[in-house]
Amino acid sequence: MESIIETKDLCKTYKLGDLDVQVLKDINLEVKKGEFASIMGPSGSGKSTLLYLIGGLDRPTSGNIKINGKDISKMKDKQESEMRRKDIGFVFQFYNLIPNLNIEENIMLPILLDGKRVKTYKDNLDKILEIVGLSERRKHTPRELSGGQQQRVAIARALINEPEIILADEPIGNLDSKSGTEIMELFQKINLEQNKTVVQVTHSMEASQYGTRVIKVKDGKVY
Amino acid sequence: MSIIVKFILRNIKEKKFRTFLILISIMMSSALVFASLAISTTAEDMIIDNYRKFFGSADITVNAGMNMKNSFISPSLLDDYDDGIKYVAGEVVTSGEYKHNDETIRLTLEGYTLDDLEKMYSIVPANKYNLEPFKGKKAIIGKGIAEKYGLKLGDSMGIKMMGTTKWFTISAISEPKGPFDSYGGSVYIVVPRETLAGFYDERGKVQTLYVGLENPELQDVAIQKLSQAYPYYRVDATIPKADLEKETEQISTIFLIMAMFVVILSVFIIYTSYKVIMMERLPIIGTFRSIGATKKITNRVMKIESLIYGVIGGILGIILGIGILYLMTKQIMSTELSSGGTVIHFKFSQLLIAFIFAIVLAYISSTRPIKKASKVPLKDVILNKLEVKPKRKKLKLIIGIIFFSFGLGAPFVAPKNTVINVISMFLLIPAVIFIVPYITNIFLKVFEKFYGWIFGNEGIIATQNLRNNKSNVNNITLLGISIAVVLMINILSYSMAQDTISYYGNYKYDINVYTWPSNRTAESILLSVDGVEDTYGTYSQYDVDIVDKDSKITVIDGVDPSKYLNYMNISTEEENIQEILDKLSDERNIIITYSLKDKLGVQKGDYLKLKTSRGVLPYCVIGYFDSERFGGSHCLIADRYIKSDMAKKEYGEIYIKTNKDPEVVAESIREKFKNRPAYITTLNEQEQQNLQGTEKIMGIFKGFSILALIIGVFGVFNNLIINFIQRKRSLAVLRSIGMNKKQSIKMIFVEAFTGGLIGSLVGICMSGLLIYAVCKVFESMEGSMNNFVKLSGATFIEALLIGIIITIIASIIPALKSSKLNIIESIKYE
Repeated sequence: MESIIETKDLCKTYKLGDLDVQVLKDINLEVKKGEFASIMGPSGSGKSTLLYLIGGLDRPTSGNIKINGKDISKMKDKQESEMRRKDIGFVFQFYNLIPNLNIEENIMLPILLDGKRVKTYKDNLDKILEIVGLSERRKHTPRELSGGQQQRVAIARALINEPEIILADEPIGNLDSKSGTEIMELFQKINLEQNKTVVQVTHSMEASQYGTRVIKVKDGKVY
Repeated sequence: MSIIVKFILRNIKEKKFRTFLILISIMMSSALVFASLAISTTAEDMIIDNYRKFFGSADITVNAGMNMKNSFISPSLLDDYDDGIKYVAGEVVTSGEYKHNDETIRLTLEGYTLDDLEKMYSIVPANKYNLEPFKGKKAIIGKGIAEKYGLKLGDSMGIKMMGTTKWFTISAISEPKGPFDSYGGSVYIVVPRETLAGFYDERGKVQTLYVGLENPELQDVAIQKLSQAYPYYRVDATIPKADLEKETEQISTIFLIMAMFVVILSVFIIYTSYKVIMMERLPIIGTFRSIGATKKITNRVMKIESLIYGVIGGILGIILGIGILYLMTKQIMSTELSSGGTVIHFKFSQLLIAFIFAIVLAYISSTRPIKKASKVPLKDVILNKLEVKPKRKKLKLIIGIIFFSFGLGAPFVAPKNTVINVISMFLLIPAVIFIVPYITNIFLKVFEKFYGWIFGNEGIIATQNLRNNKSNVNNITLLGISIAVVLMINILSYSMAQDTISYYGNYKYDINVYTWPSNRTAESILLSVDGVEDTYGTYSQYDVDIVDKDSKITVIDGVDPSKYLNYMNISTEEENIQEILDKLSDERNIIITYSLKDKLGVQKGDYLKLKTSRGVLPYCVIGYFDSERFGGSHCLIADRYIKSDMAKKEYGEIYIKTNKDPEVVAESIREKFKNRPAYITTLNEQEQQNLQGTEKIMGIFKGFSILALIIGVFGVFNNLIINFIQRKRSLAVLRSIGMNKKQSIKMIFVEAFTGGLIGSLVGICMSGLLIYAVCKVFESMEGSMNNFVKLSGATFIEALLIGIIITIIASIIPALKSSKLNIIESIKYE
């Protein structure tokens, strides 16, 4: 299988006052297309930082990241944003939906940002809403939904542009166990049925069992 | 306790821009309230000071009555009357000219005894030469004229008066005090009373007796008693204090109403700022509460903070208010009144009121946000879990509609009640505030339809972001109110200037003369002046009671039907106004304005029972005309009836038509009338004077409106920054799902453009409402602004552009910040 995510000698250092804190140290990682990887590790180990670097939300101090063979660490803002729009779908622990937009509008944001016409993606939207089970609540605002439902909307938003990679940061960290199970099943379904590559950061062993691979991070290193 | 104080002070210091915004709002509001209150004291004192230059400490004047043959009276007239009189001083006055090189200086010569001069003005000349006995051709001049023309003690002054030049020896040079203080175009000098009376062949007599009272507070009573004791004489107040107080209070009221617009803006800004403060402080309040502080204590801490804002804002406001008062005084007072420089007067009570107002403003504006925050359950406060409860939006809309309906409808229900009309006017502002969220959403729905084509998909996202966005609504409201106030004042001042111009457009005379005595003799003299083609004497009666209508007519003009239209344009829907005018002389007929017709509810053929000096007499309404003069409370009757029924013997004014340049003819008339009191102005001069007067007052109003705009602009800047802080996470989310920096900046600018556009449109509509309300307030005060307000499309477009530019400039910082946003930090914060 070809690799869709590759990191080489990836380092990330943060400034904490006068102190340099090295969060990630020479990370060399490869994720194959269609894999469902779970990054696990104790708090402060650098797992989320790794995910954000892969997603182009942050820049590495040194090293390279390749998404679909393209080195994103050298990309300009415009290309990097385009990559986030087209190649990657993000799902966050706290859903991060725009509170004053309804579900449909939240989901369609990546389409709008891509300069496409919303109307042409109506079928796609219907299909995704069907997948996440929120067809009936499309006109509701996020605050009218439960946590689990909000996370489904976030997943739908991540899927709308049909990216190959879904990155999820603690996707069930803020949910009860029932909702958590439903979300994980949804990720699994997306992984299996749509052949999407899913990389999640999680503390939960249970959540990691839905994946095909576990990447352990400790003290900024991958084990 | 000191920890709490430190906590409060640190809070104030921490958010510098917000502290600045709150302080500037309080400061400007209290400054304007102070200046508006104190302007009446300043105006009153300046006018009194000015009167004092001519009347010294005298309280009452006694002159010959209208029916007396001679205007000279005995100086010992009041010798037997000692009821509360401190002193009596006699005066003879005339005018003259003094030539210095090629310059002709107009002089007013006042004849006094040295004793009287001391009694009235406390003037005892120190710099003197052979002054006593003060007899013969001696003169006391002021230091100003002496220095200006190089006059010294012992010099002779040739003064042309009564057709000949008379020589006076300068016997004293006085400090600039009383009549020797500089005043306008005329220079005052004092000569021996008997000398001046001798020129009139009235030795031993005076023209005016000035009476100083033991107790000046009893001026009205003393006038009444003296009038009764000397019925053939005219007894007047030197300074009509009660009228003066009333007039200056009116000035204050108008300015206070203007200041209230700024106050409303300030309340809005402080209220919204406090809402944000409370949101930010909730975790700290939670900490306080978790360690045992009661709700009362945490509320008190927040209230003390608001009081500190009030105290600081109040102190700064008073300082600023003194400056504003100075500028207002300088602007509003005529050159004559402020010849000694701009001096401001205020009372301690006014300072105190402004200071207390600042504290109350800060306290009241912050009370609701503090109370609301205190209602959040302790657990939620500690966990910082702020449940956004669905707002009672519909209730606000209903309140808004009720206020709106009241604001528009009440003036029709109670057209004469000024208080209700003023309340209605101010209710329109909260009405708009409550309705703005709905208007905004309607606009946004419309914009969303075509923003895609204009601004691309970023435009659509921008409109989506603005929906139900509180900061955006606050921005639109602030901008709307500020623009509405600026527009209202600009439109009214522009309209007033236009009205002044069109007002004089109705006059067809060239020169206006006011002289005394103003009769046929004066008219004959005028006709003898080269360039005078024709004259027309007008008769006017003021404040005539309509007995059965419980109302008053401000001015009734007695007209000569054969000449009136030669001197005045009448705007009317009547087919033949000349025919109607001709009927005025037939019997007691009256032509009234359309606004009086509506106000009194009368028709042609109805009778108005007017209170005249011959008793109550009925006048039949025979026609209508349009007039904005005297607030539309203006009528015409025949001159023969105004003379017989209202005892008019003298003309009010004499209008002149010229066949030469009016300026040249006016100068000739001045020359001819130089020895008698006369005010001669060309129509052009009158128009310019009025225009300048209007512009002076409106200049202050414009100043108020600019202050409102400044507060509004600061508010908009603050709101956009708050909006950015609150939306950091949403912006980061958008960036995380692929929005690039350029798109982010574009989106923020489209949001600013949209907010500015809607805010300006709201402001334009609101200005229309406020102008309507101001018209109704005027009407309730017996005034009329019908056909007065002139709306200008260019002004609206300017307002639209200003609103958009302000918000776009204000969004530069948020836009730049958004492009530098740390996505991870912003997203992960919870």
